[in-house]
Amino acid sequence: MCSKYLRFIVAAGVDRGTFLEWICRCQFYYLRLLERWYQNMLHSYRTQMNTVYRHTISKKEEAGFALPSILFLITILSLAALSVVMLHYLQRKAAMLDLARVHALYAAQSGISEFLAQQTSLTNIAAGISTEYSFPYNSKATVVLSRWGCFFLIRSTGISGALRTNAAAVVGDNPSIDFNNALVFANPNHQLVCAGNTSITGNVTTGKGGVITGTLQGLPTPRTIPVQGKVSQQANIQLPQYRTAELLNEMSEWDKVIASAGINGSGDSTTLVLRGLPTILQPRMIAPSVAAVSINGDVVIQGQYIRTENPLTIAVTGSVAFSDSARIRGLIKILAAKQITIAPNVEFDFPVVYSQSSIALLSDQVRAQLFAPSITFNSNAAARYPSVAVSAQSQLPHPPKNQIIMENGSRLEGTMLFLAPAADTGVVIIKEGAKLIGSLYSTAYITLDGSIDGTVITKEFYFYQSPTTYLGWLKSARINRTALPKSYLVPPGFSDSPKLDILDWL
Amino acid sequence: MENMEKERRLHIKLHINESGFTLVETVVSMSLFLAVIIPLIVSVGNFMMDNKSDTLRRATVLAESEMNQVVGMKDFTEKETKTDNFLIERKIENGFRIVRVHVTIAAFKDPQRIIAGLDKSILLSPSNLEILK
Repeated sequence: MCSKYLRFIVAAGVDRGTFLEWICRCQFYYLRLLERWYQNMLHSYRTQMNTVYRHTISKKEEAGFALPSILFLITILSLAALSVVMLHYLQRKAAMLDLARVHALYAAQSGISEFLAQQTSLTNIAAGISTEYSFPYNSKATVVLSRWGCFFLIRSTGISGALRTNAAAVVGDNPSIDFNNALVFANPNHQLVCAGNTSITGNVTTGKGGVITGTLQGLPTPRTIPVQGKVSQQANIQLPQYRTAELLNEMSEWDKVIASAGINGSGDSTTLVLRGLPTILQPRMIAPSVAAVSINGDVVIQGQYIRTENPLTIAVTGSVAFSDSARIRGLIKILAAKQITIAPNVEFDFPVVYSQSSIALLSDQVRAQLFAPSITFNSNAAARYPSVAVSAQSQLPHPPKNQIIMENGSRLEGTMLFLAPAADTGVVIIKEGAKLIGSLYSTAYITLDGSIDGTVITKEFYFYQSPTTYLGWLKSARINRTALPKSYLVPPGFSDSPKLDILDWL
Repeated sequence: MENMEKERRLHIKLHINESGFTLVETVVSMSLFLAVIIPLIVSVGNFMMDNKSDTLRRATVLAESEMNQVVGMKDFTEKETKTDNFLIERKIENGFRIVRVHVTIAAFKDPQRIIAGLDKSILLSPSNLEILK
């Protein structure tokens, strides 16, 4: 019973310690009152005894104790009644707070839904918007949208009375019509040649050359075209467009942040500047108010970093390595000029990781957006949905070659974007035994020997088998569009009239 | 002997004075006590009998549960359900890619008196849009 009341008190916002202190104080005063009452009674009794036996009486001392007793009783009963009234008041307030809390939460979530339903053009979204919505029961929401790597980050504050609740989510886009295909081979000059163990489940769109079978030494030749689906031929096929401009702009902003990390300066109160080689970064070095960490040199990141409200940017002019115990969760960006190595057992929960050079993924417990000219998924490395691997044209002088390599046994759940400036300036290599669940979009060559549950949209396929270079050939690719879950979302940018949706709540 | 007589008289006088004073005092005290205690008992009794907080809390839980059912099952149909002492009403409003769900909980005996209400906008993905057709 007592604990039940305590729960109400705590629910009403009164500190448990303060409440217990009140109780102790009340008990103390109550005991003091009882003591005084007892002393009064004793005094009166002694006075009467004195009156009877010693005849030293006075009229004042004759007074009985009925009135003080009754007054005392009334006080006690009033206090008891007051506590009952207070308890009921607190119960009522706690119940109303519960309801207001639900109203605030639903307002925050509804604000996000209303906002996303209204967005029909990416041009307006790119500018960044803050909008307010009103809902029944005197609740309202303020919604702010910003970019978060390839995706959007939407944050909403729901207000009901004096209560505020925050909700944040990462936003993706529903796949455009091109993603209904298993394969879009957007090369008007080549036929698609299926050899070896290649199999495609789903529709295929190609140039006017269509799909044929081919023979390779040491591999079986398919008896029929190994496509379980419809093959469409378009004479002037074009690679479906992805809006790279906004992404490249953001990457050039990241380049500026890395460059500024190398400039001497102490920074403001929200910036932590670390210098000296080598640097070990630990969570205790970063106060919650710090929004940016600038590190001049190489760094090893240790420990657990969690940001759900205030984003944190860690900019490094050298290379970044993570110790096995590192955990990075929430709104954290790690930007580095040199290689980023993500060791086995490192856990990422949707940070943005950008390197001007390369990223090596060795962990299988990662959910992240990886941006680098060169990305390597080592054997048994895995990036869970909705991860993204992006290799884009660097704005820096002397950029490294674009490439994404998925080694045998590695896995990516999400989207791979290969945005090389020209078809022959980079390559995606998905080795046999590697698996991608989602989609692969490439403006350049793909060597596809692994399996893809989803969609491939590419300008060209390529592999080299001495002494011949094969263009437009697949030798052991397995593409299955039907295996992709319906809830799969792509980064916004494939459609000018997006249908934005919640990718994940933060 | 004279002293003993004096003491006896004084004792009698004292007893007479004491008893009169205490009776008046007791009557005043009792009146005061009753004047305070009766309204106090009535109001405390009312508070004890009043279960508005529990009702509100139960209504909130019911409304939340109903809303979760709508969202989880994607059951966007208008409905009226009767449970213990409550009437649960669900209203649906369709917009572009969005469904606005209004859940109200009213007293079963007095449906006009709404105890708690919740309102939520739910974004529909293209696959969910087919459900509405």
